[in-house]
Amino acid sequence: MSGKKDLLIEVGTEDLPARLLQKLSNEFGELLCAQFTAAKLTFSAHKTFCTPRRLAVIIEGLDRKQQDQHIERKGPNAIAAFDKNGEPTQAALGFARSCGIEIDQLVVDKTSNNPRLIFREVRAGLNTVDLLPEILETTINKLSAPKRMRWNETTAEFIRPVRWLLVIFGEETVATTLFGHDANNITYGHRFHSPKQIVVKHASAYKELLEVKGHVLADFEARQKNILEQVYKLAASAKGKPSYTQDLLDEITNLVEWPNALLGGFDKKFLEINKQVLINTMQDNQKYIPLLDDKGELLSQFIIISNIDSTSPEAVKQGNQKVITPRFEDAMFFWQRDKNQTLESKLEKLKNVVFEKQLGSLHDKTLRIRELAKYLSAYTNADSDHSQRAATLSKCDLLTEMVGEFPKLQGIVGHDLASHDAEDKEVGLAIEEQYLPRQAGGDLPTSAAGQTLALADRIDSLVGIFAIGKKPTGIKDPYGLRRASLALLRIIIETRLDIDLQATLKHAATLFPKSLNADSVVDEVFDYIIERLHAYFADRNIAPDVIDSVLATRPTKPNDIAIRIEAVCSFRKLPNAHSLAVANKRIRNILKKTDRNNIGQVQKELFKENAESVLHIAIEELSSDVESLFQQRDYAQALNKLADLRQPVDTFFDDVMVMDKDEALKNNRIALLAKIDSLFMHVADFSRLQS
Amino acid sequence: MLAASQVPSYTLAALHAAITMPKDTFISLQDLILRLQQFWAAQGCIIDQPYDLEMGAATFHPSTFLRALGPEPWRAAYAQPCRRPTDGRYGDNPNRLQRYFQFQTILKPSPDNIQQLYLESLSKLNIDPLVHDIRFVEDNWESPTLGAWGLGWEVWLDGMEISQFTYFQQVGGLECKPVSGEITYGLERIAMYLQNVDSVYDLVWAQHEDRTILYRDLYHQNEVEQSAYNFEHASTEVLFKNFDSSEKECQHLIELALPIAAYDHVLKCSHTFNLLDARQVISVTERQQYILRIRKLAQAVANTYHASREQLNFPLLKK
Repeated sequence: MSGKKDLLIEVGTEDLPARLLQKLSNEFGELLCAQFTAAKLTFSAHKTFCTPRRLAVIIEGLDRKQQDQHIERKGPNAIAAFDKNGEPTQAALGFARSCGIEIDQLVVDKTSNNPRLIFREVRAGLNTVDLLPEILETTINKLSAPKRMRWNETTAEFIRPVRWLLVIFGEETVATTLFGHDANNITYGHRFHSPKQIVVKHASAYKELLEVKGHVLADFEARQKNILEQVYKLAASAKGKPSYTQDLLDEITNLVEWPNALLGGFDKKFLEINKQVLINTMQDNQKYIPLLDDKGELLSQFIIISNIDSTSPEAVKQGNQKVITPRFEDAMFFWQRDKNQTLESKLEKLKNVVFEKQLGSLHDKTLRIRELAKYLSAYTNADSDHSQRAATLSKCDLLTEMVGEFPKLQGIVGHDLASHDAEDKEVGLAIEEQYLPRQAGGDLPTSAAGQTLALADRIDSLVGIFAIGKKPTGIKDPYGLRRASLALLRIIIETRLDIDLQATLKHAATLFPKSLNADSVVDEVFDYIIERLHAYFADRNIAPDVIDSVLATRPTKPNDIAIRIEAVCSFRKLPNAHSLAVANKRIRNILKKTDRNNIGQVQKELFKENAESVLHIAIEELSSDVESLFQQRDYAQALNKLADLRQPVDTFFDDVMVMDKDEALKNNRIALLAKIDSLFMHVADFSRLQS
Repeated sequence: MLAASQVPSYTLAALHAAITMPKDTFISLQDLILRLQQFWAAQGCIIDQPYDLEMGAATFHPSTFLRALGPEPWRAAYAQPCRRPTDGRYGDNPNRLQRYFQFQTILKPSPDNIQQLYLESLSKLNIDPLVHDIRFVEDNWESPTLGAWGLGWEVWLDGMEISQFTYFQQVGGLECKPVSGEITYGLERIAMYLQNVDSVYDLVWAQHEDRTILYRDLYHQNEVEQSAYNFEHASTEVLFKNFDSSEKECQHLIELALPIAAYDHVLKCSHTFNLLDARQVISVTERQQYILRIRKLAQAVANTYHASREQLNFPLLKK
């Protein structure tokens, strides 16, 4: 009989939160596997299943029992173990006792030249079924859920009430209990389509049984694929393209066991409302998939993923349409009310909205952003008047009824109203673009005024929040400063803005009340933001030592940093790069021991070796070229030229003893090396590059 | 009457049987209440009556807030008018009302078949789960003013939220032991669905022979007048004063160990706060302060009530 069998565990629950389900399911599988591995039970594969009403795992080819364990303990030396009469000594007896056996059950290990008493035992491996109850309980308790709940008179907690437990190993039901439910070989299908018990005889039958008898697609991927097929078919019938994010699709997938897509529609009159309002309502509130035409315009149709193969699909469709109409009516109502007042009319009212107790109202923030926008416009090439106007109006839409009802539309509503108020086009666009990127990797502002505003708002928050001592700690980041930092770095780097971050932060600090002493946190904020560059460049597959080498020179312009990093990366690919990095390290080590202030000018007359003058000439020849390349920030080309130094540098180190006894010769040589160092340091600290 | 009934399987025999009743019977809003009362009475709920003070949700009814505390079992069901002054629309909006009705069921301890019971109650309203798409969508409930939270769902009927379903974890700052299951039906929503009307005012409240009384007949004028009061005429000066004096009265009654009487003043504070909110005279920071003040009272009432029941040896435990 084979020593391996398939295990199926299914925890039947009341409806689990859709947005957590997939993570829970993956974790459930991984934790179980880890537990088996820790128990020294091997298996060939695992597969997870999840629906709103179940978490399940199949472990294929799992050992039926643990391997026997061979235990060996060494006791006292054989000579010390027995006295001259051959009687066991106290030491030997004590050892036997500690092993829980009689002295005659111990053996003497004769293979060693220092023979000792040995205790050997074969501890029989435990059966998997006996280990399962504890493994299962530990796994369930380890599952990370943001909030657990109690549901009966016990203190047991889980994400939602547990209603049944199925555990079969091979064809046997395993005797175990979870939350008061004895394990069985019974599962339940769809709540309405297949309410009867379904007996599962073997793990391999699980998925199909649930599908055929239970009206449940238990496999997440299969269910999602099924949904997509239905969605694209319906979309094609409506000549539309479905609009959804992966997150939405995942959530929809986890809201159903037996997906059935339906095509719904709404009155075309609503299409005059901002399409983002309609899309958000459909996606966020109703979990519908909106449809777009080939120009990207919203269609008045949408797709519903129901969890029933209804005897009257028309009724389900009608019902859903009835839900969306009043929501759109509301949006229309808000839009019409908001239109009656200009954006600017809200400005005064921002005085009543607190941004942060110590940092004042949103009106105060608006004034600071405007000043900062004015400062930044010089660097973003934005029209200063437009930037300032956009800044002035930037927070006004927060007081509209539309944003009150649909908070995600901040900026978008502001843009709409700005257009309605006949503000300059760039002003409206900037109001919308201040929130870009809306998520990691999202689109960046395209307009100069939008970039200006997006930077000003974030820089103001960073400096302000740090100044009141509420900087992020660990995972706590209530003001989203980590995200804000990354966003502003992306804007500066990816739109190639020549902005000195340190100087900007300094300017931002001056805009806060003196009492906050914001100036004192500028360096800290700068370091915090720059620190994010590690994550930023790591995401772009830049080696950490390259990032370190550039940051070590403490540049203050993020875009400049990016150009240097690019240059170092291409330098690294040059044939001379490695040996120059080594030389740089050597130079740095020498310079470390030297007081930099004492390094003087290179004096040709002090050259003794030919290699010294050759290197000096090479440096002199390169210097002016390279300096001007640095000026133009053509770091890559500059490094390309510097790579020519390899030959003379190598010869120098081969032929010249830097630490000469003659102090004058030595200092002259150090001065020569310092020249090389400072040339390279224009770009990066090459001594930090790993080989 | 209160033992948790153990339903062994997930068969829906009862549900399917119920669906075979004649479907053409029209369900007026008052039929809806009657049917829910009848159903839940058969599950051992006492049919309580609406509380005689203004409140924002049926959860505020002492039959839920106070009875959810402590170990005593409890099953009750009742309709409750709820007031949300900011939702007033002068009777112009077909879906928003400053006063509407909830039907509340509280089951303590929550029985294992509570979802099942709920679905059966829908079948009594001729809602066939094989026709309609009924789903339980995650919704975590929290009432900052009551110091209460729980986990559960909003129940969707073809995408429309028709009920709130919550397992209470904490009420008045106290852990719920045992846990109560709370089911709240949005009566107008369900009725609009059943009667297939687009405006709440077109709902048939009652029908007798050739006489039909609509929601409009009963409550439209009320919406117009109350909206005007809530938004325009409520004296904020009086309201601020009322809040302070209700708070004082509440504290005084707590000191006297009269928690039920004290609780009435928590309700008064809460409603007064809602009115002030509708008058837009409370700033964002003040708002938080007011909520904290009410919560403090609610927690004190919860503690005092629990202690008073303990002193009585939790009388309902014996029944």
